Amino acid sequence: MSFRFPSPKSALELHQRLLQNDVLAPQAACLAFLPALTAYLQHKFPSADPHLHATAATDALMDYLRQPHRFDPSRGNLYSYLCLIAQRDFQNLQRNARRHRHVELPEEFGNSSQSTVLDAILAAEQYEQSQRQLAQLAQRLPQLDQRVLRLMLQKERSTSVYARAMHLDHLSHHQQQRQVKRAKDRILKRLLRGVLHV
Amino acid sequence: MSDPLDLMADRARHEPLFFGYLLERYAQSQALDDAALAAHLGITLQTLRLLRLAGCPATEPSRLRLQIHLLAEAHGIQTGLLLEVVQQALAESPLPASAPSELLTPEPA
Repeated sequence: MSFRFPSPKSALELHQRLLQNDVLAPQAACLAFLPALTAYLQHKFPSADPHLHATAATDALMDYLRQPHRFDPSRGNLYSYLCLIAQRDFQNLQRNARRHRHVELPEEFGNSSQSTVLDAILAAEQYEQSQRQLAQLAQRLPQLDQRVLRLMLQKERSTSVYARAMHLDHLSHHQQQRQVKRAKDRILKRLLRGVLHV
Repeated sequence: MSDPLDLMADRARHEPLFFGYLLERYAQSQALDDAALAAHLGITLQTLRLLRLAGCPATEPSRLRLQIHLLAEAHGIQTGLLLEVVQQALAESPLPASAPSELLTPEPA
Protein backbone atom coordinates (compact mmCIF):
# COMPACT_ATOMS: atom_id res chain seq x y z
CA MET A 1 0.00 0.00 0.00
CA SER A 2 1.45 3.38 -1.03
CA PHE A 3 1.39 6.41 1.24
CA ARG A 4 2.21 8.70 -1.62
CA PHE A 5 -0.56 10.54 -3.38
CA PRO A 6 -0.86 9.73 -7.09
CA SER A 7 0.57 12.20 -9.60
CA PRO A 8 -1.78 15.07 -10.56
CA LYS A 9 -2.33 13.41 -13.96
CA SER A 10 -3.24 10.04 -12.43
CA ALA A 11 -5.42 11.67 -9.80
CA LEU A 12 -7.30 13.59 -12.48
CA GLU A 13 -7.81 10.43 -14.55
CA LEU A 14 -9.26 8.71 -11.51
CA HIS A 15 -11.48 11.72 -10.87
CA GLN A 16 -12.80 11.48 -14.45
CA ARG A 17 -13.55 7.77 -13.95
CA LEU A 18 -15.58 8.66 -10.86
CA LEU A 19 -17.54 11.24 -12.79
CA GLN A 20 -18.30 8.59 -15.43
CA ASN A 21 -19.57 6.19 -12.73
CA ASP A 22 -16.87 3.63 -13.51
CA VAL A 23 -17.86 0.88 -11.10
CA LEU A 24 -14.24 0.16 -10.16
CA ALA A 25 -13.31 3.81 -9.62
CA PRO A 26 -14.44 4.21 -5.96
CA GLN A 27 -12.29 1.27 -4.94
CA ALA A 28 -9.32 2.63 -6.88
CA ALA A 29 -9.84 6.03 -5.25
CA CYS A 30 -9.88 4.50 -1.76
CA LEU A 31 -6.68 2.58 -2.43
CA ALA A 32 -4.96 5.56 -4.06
CA PHE A 33 -6.06 8.40 -1.79
CA LEU A 34 -6.91 7.06 1.65
CA PRO A 35 -3.47 5.98 2.92
CA ALA A 36 -1.94 9.21 1.66
CA LEU A 37 -4.64 11.36 3.29
CA THR A 38 -4.18 9.52 6.57
CA ALA A 39 -0.41 10.01 6.36
CA TYR A 40 -0.96 13.72 5.68
CA LEU A 41 -3.04 14.08 8.86
CA GLN A 42 -0.52 12.05 10.87
CA HIS A 43 2.21 14.40 9.70
CA LYS A 44 0.18 17.54 10.36
CA PHE A 45 -1.21 16.48 13.74
CA PRO A 46 1.36 14.01 15.06
CA SER A 47 0.28 14.02 18.69
CA ALA A 48 -3.40 13.29 18.03
CA ASP A 49 -5.23 10.01 18.55
CA PRO A 50 -4.40 7.81 15.51
CA HIS A 51 -8.04 6.78 15.30
CA LEU A 52 -8.92 10.44 14.64
CA HIS A 53 -6.49 10.55 11.70
CA ALA A 54 -8.07 7.48 10.12
CA THR A 55 -11.64 8.63 10.80
CA ALA A 56 -11.08 12.12 9.41
CA ALA A 57 -9.37 10.77 6.29
CA THR A 58 -12.28 8.37 5.78
CA ASP A 59 -14.81 11.18 6.31
CA ALA A 60 -13.02 13.40 3.80
CA LEU A 61 -12.83 10.75 1.13
CA MET A 62 -16.45 9.84 1.67
CA ASP A 63 -17.45 13.50 1.24
CA TYR A 64 -15.53 13.60 -2.04
CA LEU A 65 -16.86 10.28 -3.37
CA ARG A 66 -20.45 11.29 -2.69
CA GLN A 67 -20.06 14.47 -4.72
CA PRO A 68 -16.97 14.29 -6.93
CA HIS A 69 -18.38 16.99 -9.24
CA ARG A 70 -17.73 19.55 -6.48
CA PHE A 71 -14.01 19.39 -7.23
CA ASP A 72 -13.13 21.92 -9.90
CA PRO A 73 -9.80 20.98 -11.55
CA SER A 74 -9.41 24.53 -12.86
CA ARG A 75 -9.08 25.78 -9.28
CA GLY A 76 -6.29 23.51 -8.07
CA ASN A 77 -5.14 19.93 -7.75
CA LEU A 78 -7.11 17.10 -6.19
CA TYR A 79 -4.52 16.42 -3.49
CA SER A 80 -4.84 19.94 -2.07
CA TYR A 81 -8.62 19.73 -2.28
CA LEU A 82 -8.77 16.43 -0.37
CA CYS A 83 -6.25 17.57 2.23
CA LEU A 84 -8.31 20.67 2.94
CA ILE A 85 -11.45 18.59 3.50
CA ALA A 86 -9.51 16.10 5.64
CA GLN A 87 -8.06 18.87 7.78
CA ARG A 88 -11.50 20.40 8.30
CA ASP A 89 -13.00 17.02 9.23
CA PHE A 90 -10.11 16.30 11.58
CA GLN A 91 -10.54 19.62 13.37
CA ASN A 92 -14.28 18.99 13.73
CA LEU A 93 -13.63 15.57 15.24
CA GLN A 94 -10.99 16.98 17.55
CA ARG A 95 -13.35 19.74 18.68
CA ASN A 96 -16.06 17.19 19.49
CA ALA A 97 -13.59 15.01 21.35
CA ARG A 98 -12.39 17.98 23.43
CA ARG A 99 -15.95 18.93 24.30
CA HIS A 100 -16.33 15.63 26.10
CA ARG A 101 -12.86 15.40 27.55
CA HIS A 102 -14.04 16.29 31.04
CA VAL A 103 -15.72 12.89 31.15
CA GLU A 104 -13.01 10.40 31.99
CA LEU A 105 -13.98 7.38 29.95
CA PRO A 106 -11.59 4.46 30.35
CA GLU A 107 -11.65 1.78 27.70
CA GLU A 108 -13.65 -0.56 29.89
CA PHE A 109 -16.57 1.94 30.09
CA GLY A 110 -16.54 0.67 33.64
CA ASN A 111 -16.39 3.54 36.07
CA SER A 112 -18.01 6.51 34.44
CA SER A 113 -20.17 7.76 37.27
CA GLN A 114 -21.42 10.63 35.11
CA SER A 115 -23.65 8.56 32.87
CA THR A 116 -27.25 9.30 33.70
CA VAL A 117 -28.33 6.71 31.17
CA LEU A 118 -26.72 3.86 33.07
CA ASP A 119 -26.91 5.33 36.58
CA ALA A 120 -29.67 2.90 37.59
CA ILE A 121 -27.52 -0.08 36.73
CA LEU A 122 -24.29 1.28 38.15
CA ALA A 123 -25.86 2.52 41.37
CA ALA A 124 -27.89 -0.61 42.11
CA GLU A 125 -26.48 -2.05 45.30
CA GLN A 126 -27.66 -5.56 44.69
CA TYR A 127 -25.50 -5.92 41.52
CA GLU A 128 -22.15 -6.83 42.92
CA GLN A 129 -19.22 -5.65 40.79
CA SER A 130 -21.73 -4.09 38.42
CA GLN A 131 -19.12 -1.84 36.90
CA ARG A 132 -16.86 -4.70 35.96
CA GLN A 133 -19.87 -6.58 34.61
CA LEU A 134 -20.80 -3.56 32.56
CA ALA A 135 -17.31 -3.30 31.12
CA GLN A 136 -17.34 -6.99 30.19
CA LEU A 137 -20.79 -6.69 28.63
CA ALA A 138 -19.80 -3.57 26.74
CA GLN A 139 -16.80 -5.30 25.23
CA ARG A 140 -19.06 -8.02 23.84
CA LEU A 141 -21.15 -5.48 21.98
CA PRO A 142 -20.54 -5.03 18.23
CA GLN A 143 -18.10 -2.25 17.47
CA LEU A 144 -20.81 0.12 16.28
CA ASP A 145 -22.81 -0.38 19.48
CA GLN A 146 -19.68 0.28 21.52
CA ARG A 147 -19.31 3.62 19.72
CA VAL A 148 -22.91 4.50 20.53
CA LEU A 149 -22.51 3.43 24.15
CA ARG A 150 -19.41 5.56 24.47
CA LEU A 151 -21.42 8.58 23.32
CA MET A 152 -24.23 7.73 25.73
CA LEU A 153 -21.80 7.57 28.61
CA GLN A 154 -20.42 10.93 27.52
CA LYS A 155 -24.00 12.26 27.75
CA GLU A 156 -23.97 13.20 24.08
CA ARG A 157 -27.32 14.74 23.14
CA SER A 158 -26.85 15.56 19.49
CA THR A 159 -28.58 13.17 17.07
CA SER A 160 -26.20 14.17 14.30
CA VAL A 161 -23.17 13.10 16.38
CA TYR A 162 -24.72 9.69 16.93
CA ALA A 163 -25.77 9.52 13.29
CA ARG A 164 -22.24 10.24 12.18
CA ALA A 165 -20.83 7.56 14.46
CA MET A 166 -23.41 5.14 13.08
CA HIS A 167 -22.73 6.18 9.46
CA LEU A 168 -26.30 7.36 8.94
CA ASP A 169 -25.35 10.62 7.22
CA HIS A 170 -27.31 9.71 4.14
CA LEU A 171 -30.61 9.56 6.06
CA SER A 172 -33.00 12.42 6.82
CA HIS A 173 -32.90 13.89 10.32
CA HIS A 174 -36.14 12.17 11.23
CA GLN A 175 -34.82 8.78 10.07
CA GLN A 176 -31.59 9.39 11.96
CA GLN A 177 -33.52 10.12 15.15
CA ARG A 178 -35.47 6.89 14.77
CA GLN A 179 -32.39 4.78 14.11
CA VAL A 180 -30.43 6.37 16.93
CA LYS A 181 -33.26 5.77 19.39
CA ARG A 182 -33.54 2.13 18.28
CA ALA A 183 -29.82 1.65 18.74
CA LYS A 184 -29.84 3.16 22.23
CA ASP A 185 -32.84 1.07 23.29
CA ARG A 186 -31.22 -2.07 21.91
CA ILE A 187 -27.96 -1.42 23.72
CA LEU A 188 -29.64 -0.69 27.04
CA LYS A 189 -31.78 -3.83 26.77
CA ARG A 190 -28.71 -5.96 26.12
CA LEU A 191 -26.83 -4.44 29.01
CA LEU A 192 -29.77 -4.81 31.37
CA ARG A 193 -30.27 -8.44 30.32
CA GLY A 194 -26.64 -9.08 30.91
CA VAL A 195 -26.55 -7.46 34.32
CA LEU A 196 -29.82 -9.06 35.41
CA HIS A 197 -28.77 -12.44 33.96
CA VAL A 198 -32.16 -12.72 32.26
CA MET B 1 -4.09 1.69 15.08
CA SER B 2 -7.25 1.95 12.94
CA ASP B 3 -6.71 0.93 9.33
CA PRO B 4 -8.49 3.58 7.24
CA LEU B 5 -9.31 1.05 4.52
CA ASP B 6 -11.01 -1.16 7.12
CA LEU B 7 -12.96 1.87 8.36
CA MET B 8 -13.97 2.73 4.81
CA ALA B 9 -14.99 -0.85 3.99
CA ASP B 10 -17.07 -0.89 7.16
CA ARG B 11 -18.81 2.33 6.19
CA ALA B 12 -19.36 1.00 2.68
CA ARG B 13 -21.87 -1.47 4.14
CA HIS B 14 -24.25 1.41 4.83
CA GLU B 15 -23.42 3.81 2.01
CA PRO B 16 -25.51 3.37 -1.18
CA LEU B 17 -22.74 4.54 -3.50
CA PHE B 18 -20.65 1.45 -2.66
CA PHE B 19 -21.05 -2.17 -3.73
CA GLY B 20 -20.69 -3.01 -0.03
CA TYR B 21 -24.22 -1.66 0.44
CA LEU B 22 -25.66 -4.37 -1.82
CA LEU B 23 -23.43 -7.03 -0.30
CA GLU B 24 -24.65 -6.08 3.17
CA ARG B 25 -28.29 -6.34 2.12
CA TYR B 26 -27.62 -9.74 0.58
CA ALA B 27 -25.69 -10.96 3.63
CA GLN B 28 -28.44 -9.85 6.00
CA SER B 29 -31.13 -11.50 3.90
CA GLN B 30 -29.18 -14.77 3.98
CA ALA B 31 -27.93 -14.35 7.58
CA LEU B 32 -24.31 -14.59 6.44
CA ASP B 33 -21.40 -13.18 8.40
CA ASP B 34 -18.30 -11.94 6.58
CA ALA B 35 -16.58 -15.30 6.51
CA ALA B 36 -19.67 -17.04 5.15
CA LEU B 37 -20.22 -14.35 2.53
CA ALA B 38 -16.62 -14.55 1.36
CA ALA B 39 -16.85 -18.33 1.21
CA HIS B 40 -20.09 -18.11 -0.78
CA LEU B 41 -18.42 -15.82 -3.31
CA GLY B 42 -15.27 -17.96 -3.38
CA ILE B 43 -12.98 -15.16 -2.25
CA THR B 44 -10.84 -14.24 0.75
CA LEU B 45 -11.88 -11.75 3.44
CA GLN B 46 -9.26 -9.36 2.08
CA THR B 47 -10.85 -9.50 -1.38
CA LEU B 48 -14.28 -9.06 0.20
CA ARG B 49 -13.02 -5.89 1.83
CA LEU B 50 -11.88 -4.59 -1.57
CA LEU B 51 -15.12 -5.65 -3.24
CA ARG B 52 -17.09 -3.61 -0.69
CA LEU B 53 -15.21 -0.53 -1.84
CA ALA B 54 -16.24 -0.90 -5.48
CA GLY B 55 -19.07 1.25 -6.77
CA CYS B 56 -22.72 0.35 -6.78
CA PRO B 57 -23.73 -0.81 -10.28
CA ALA B 58 -26.52 0.61 -12.38
CA THR B 59 -29.82 -1.21 -12.08
CA GLU B 60 -30.79 -1.04 -15.77
CA PRO B 61 -30.41 -4.70 -16.90
CA SER B 62 -27.92 -4.41 -19.75
CA ARG B 63 -25.66 -2.02 -17.85
CA LEU B 64 -26.02 -4.08 -14.69
CA ARG B 65 -24.75 -7.20 -16.46
CA LEU B 66 -21.79 -5.38 -17.93
CA GLN B 67 -20.80 -3.76 -14.66
CA ILE B 68 -21.23 -7.00 -12.71
CA HIS B 69 -19.03 -8.71 -15.28
CA LEU B 70 -16.35 -6.06 -14.70
CA LEU B 71 -16.59 -6.46 -10.93
CA ALA B 72 -16.57 -10.25 -11.10
CA GLU B 73 -13.56 -10.34 -13.40
CA ALA B 74 -11.62 -7.87 -11.27
CA HIS B 75 -12.16 -9.93 -8.09
CA GLY B 76 -12.01 -13.49 -9.38
CA ILE B 77 -15.71 -14.25 -8.90
CA GLN B 78 -18.07 -16.08 -11.24
CA THR B 79 -20.19 -13.47 -13.03
CA GLY B 80 -23.38 -15.50 -12.70
CA LEU B 81 -22.91 -15.90 -8.96
CA LEU B 82 -22.27 -12.20 -8.40
CA LEU B 83 -25.24 -11.29 -10.57
CA GLU B 84 -27.43 -13.59 -8.49
CA VAL B 85 -26.23 -11.91 -5.28
CA VAL B 86 -26.99 -8.45 -6.65
CA GLN B 87 -30.41 -9.42 -7.98
CA GLN B 88 -31.29 -10.94 -4.63
CA ALA B 89 -30.12 -7.79 -2.83
CA LEU B 90 -32.11 -5.54 -5.17
CA ALA B 91 -35.18 -7.73 -4.75
CA GLU B 92 -35.09 -7.03 -1.01
CA SER B 93 -35.88 -3.37 -1.66
CA PRO B 94 -35.01 -0.73 -4.26
CA LEU B 95 -31.89 1.37 -3.84
CA PRO B 96 -32.39 4.75 -2.15
CA ALA B 97 -32.42 7.98 -4.17
CA SER B 98 -28.83 8.69 -3.13
CA ALA B 99 -27.52 5.69 -5.11
CA PRO B 100 -25.49 6.69 -8.20
CA SER B 101 -27.45 7.46 -11.35
CA GLU B 102 -27.10 5.21 -14.37
CA LEU B 103 -24.41 6.55 -16.67
CA LEU B 104 -22.26 5.04 -19.32
CA THR B 105 -19.59 2.65 -18.18
CA PRO B 106 -16.35 2.13 -20.09
CA GLU B 107 -16.39 -0.76 -22.52
CA PRO B 108 -14.24 -3.67 -21.32
CA ALA B 109 -10.89 -3.93 -23.10
